Amino acid sequence: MAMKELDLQLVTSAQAGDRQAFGRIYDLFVRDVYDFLYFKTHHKETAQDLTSLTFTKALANIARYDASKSSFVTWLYRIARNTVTDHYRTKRMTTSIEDAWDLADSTDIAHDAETAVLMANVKQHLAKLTSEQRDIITMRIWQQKTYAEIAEVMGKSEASCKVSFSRAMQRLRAEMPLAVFLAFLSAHLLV
Amino acid sequence: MKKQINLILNDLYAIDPSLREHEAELRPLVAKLLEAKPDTRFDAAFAKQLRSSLMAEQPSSSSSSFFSFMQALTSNKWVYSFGGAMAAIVLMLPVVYFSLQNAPASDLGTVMENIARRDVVRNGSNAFGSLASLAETARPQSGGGGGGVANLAMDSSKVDSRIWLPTQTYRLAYNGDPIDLTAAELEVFKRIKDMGNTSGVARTLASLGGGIIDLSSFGNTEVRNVELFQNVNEGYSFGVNFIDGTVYVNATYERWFTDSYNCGRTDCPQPAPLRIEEVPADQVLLDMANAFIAQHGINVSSYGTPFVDQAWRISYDNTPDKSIAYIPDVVDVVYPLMINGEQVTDTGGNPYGLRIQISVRSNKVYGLWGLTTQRYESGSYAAEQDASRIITLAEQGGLYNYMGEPQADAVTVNLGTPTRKLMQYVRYVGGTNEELYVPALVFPVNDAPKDIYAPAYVVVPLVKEVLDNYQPPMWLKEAPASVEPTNDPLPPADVAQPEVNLR
Repeated sequence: MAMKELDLQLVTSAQAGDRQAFGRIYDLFVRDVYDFLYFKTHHKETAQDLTSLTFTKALANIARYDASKSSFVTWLYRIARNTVTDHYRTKRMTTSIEDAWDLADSTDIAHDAETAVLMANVKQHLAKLTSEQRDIITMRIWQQKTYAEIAEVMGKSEASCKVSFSRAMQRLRAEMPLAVFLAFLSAHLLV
Repeated sequence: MKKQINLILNDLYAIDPSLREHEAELRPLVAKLLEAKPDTRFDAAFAKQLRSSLMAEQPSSSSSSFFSFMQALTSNKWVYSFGGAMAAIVLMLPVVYFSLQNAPASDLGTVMENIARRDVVRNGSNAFGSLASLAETARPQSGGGGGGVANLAMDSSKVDSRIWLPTQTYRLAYNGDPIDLTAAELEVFKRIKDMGNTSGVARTLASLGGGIIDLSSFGNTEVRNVELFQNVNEGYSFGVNFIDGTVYVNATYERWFTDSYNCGRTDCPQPAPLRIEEVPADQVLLDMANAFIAQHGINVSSYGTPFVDQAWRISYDNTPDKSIAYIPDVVDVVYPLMINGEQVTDTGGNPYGLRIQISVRSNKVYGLWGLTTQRYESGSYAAEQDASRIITLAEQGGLYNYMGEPQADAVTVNLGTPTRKLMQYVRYVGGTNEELYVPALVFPVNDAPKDIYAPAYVVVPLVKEVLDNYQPPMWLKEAPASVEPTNDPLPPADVAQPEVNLR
């Protein structure tokens, strides 16, 4: 995975103004960051805008990145997460919404129709989790990241992420066992 | 998929062996989550374009002359002397720079004029080309590429509008006054974003490359945006985007909430949830917003009477246990945009315009959004004159609500007499976004029961071409005769509504 291959020398070079080094960092992370943002916004154009903002902010602030405080990956994803938060705060929403999952009514917020349909069954349940738990679930199940990679993104310990994932799954199990069972049957056994 | 499911389950059991007892529930749960994974439609061309843009951005290394220049500029008393006067940012930043550099400013006059102007340039019929895409975007997408969850995997060559939508517990019925549509043509507006030629400024700024690079070697340069920030806690970042013709003010987030969210550690203390009595009264919020506008010389002559956005109170009022009801950190005061005397809404019917955001925790303005140039061009388009067609579309939820088929026991919710407004629609054309303002009728949704999740408004555009190109969702039409299921057919109707099964 990209984050394992990040050469710290690249970050140091980028901090010194080496634009090509920043370009290589960008190449390593752009897909992951975009997917991460898409899963938080459910809309292609919004995810593209926020990806653009995330890397623009990273470029503008990379000189201020302090490797002794957090890993670069943690730092980059923190920018991405804050960018999503800011995006919804500057939209019509007045609440402290962290991502699209928190939107009870997204009829006037851009979203992809197919994604809305796909997520219709799970959204109401995932929405009850914390933003952090959702991030961990989407990274583990949709992006298939290892716990070590998730821990780096979240800036937490691997054990903490595992426990968080486990608790989130237990909560989902408690929330929707009959529903998923019936849907599972209809999707796989009844056709 | 089975392999993935097993991998995830084994992980879980390693964390908590007791979960193995619940495998019968966990297995379909994981399957469900895997099936719900959306296609993110990553666009390699976008990534390439963004990379190119980033490579062309000015570096922000602390040693760069540009960074030093910006720091010097933000600490310059001139900058603070014009404070937050938003238009003045645009005008004076180049002026400050040019006064320092004694550079020619022949293009600045045009930029300044364009910011200050408030006018409409009238064009002929169909000035913005076909508006059919406004309907295409509104139409739900066809179901190809779906997956197991909604059973949408149909052959898209045979089915082009088939889509599963969840059922609704309500139906809409028009209960307002007769609608009179007499105009044969209506004016559609487009905001002119261009602030004028900034190449002269860009050429001078290019000299900032110093000894690192000769930026003047790049031709045809213009200024895209300028951003300044206050180097203090609870300060603002503010800037101008010359391409979009927008001015913004944001809280410099990392310098706010430094004793909680942004404490500088990974385990920052989370502040206690807000209490309802901590939210200032509406008049206090309005006074704060108006004071901010006055303090920073913000021109609101194109905006209507402000009001406090109460959207959050809907969920608050509907939560019986107020101890767990959500109180927002930020409350907005909205100054609705007016164009040619008509109020502007978004596609959901909510007033669109300048928003002053107020942080409840800080009791201070948190940011400003929606302040734009006010030059428009307009073109006339054929208008829909059939009121019954408009009402039918409104009762279907309008063009921009993904409303499902009413259930058999759905309750009736009334639509009231509509108001003529301009609907803002952002159209993506050739790599840029156009802001169109289309005449539309906005129907209020009246007296919806609290347990019914109905929208506040329903919007139907009045441009005939848009309506002619709109295709209603599948449940409103007869099923295509030639549908041949592929590998994942639509189940019978009673099974195809997982929403029903879930309850």
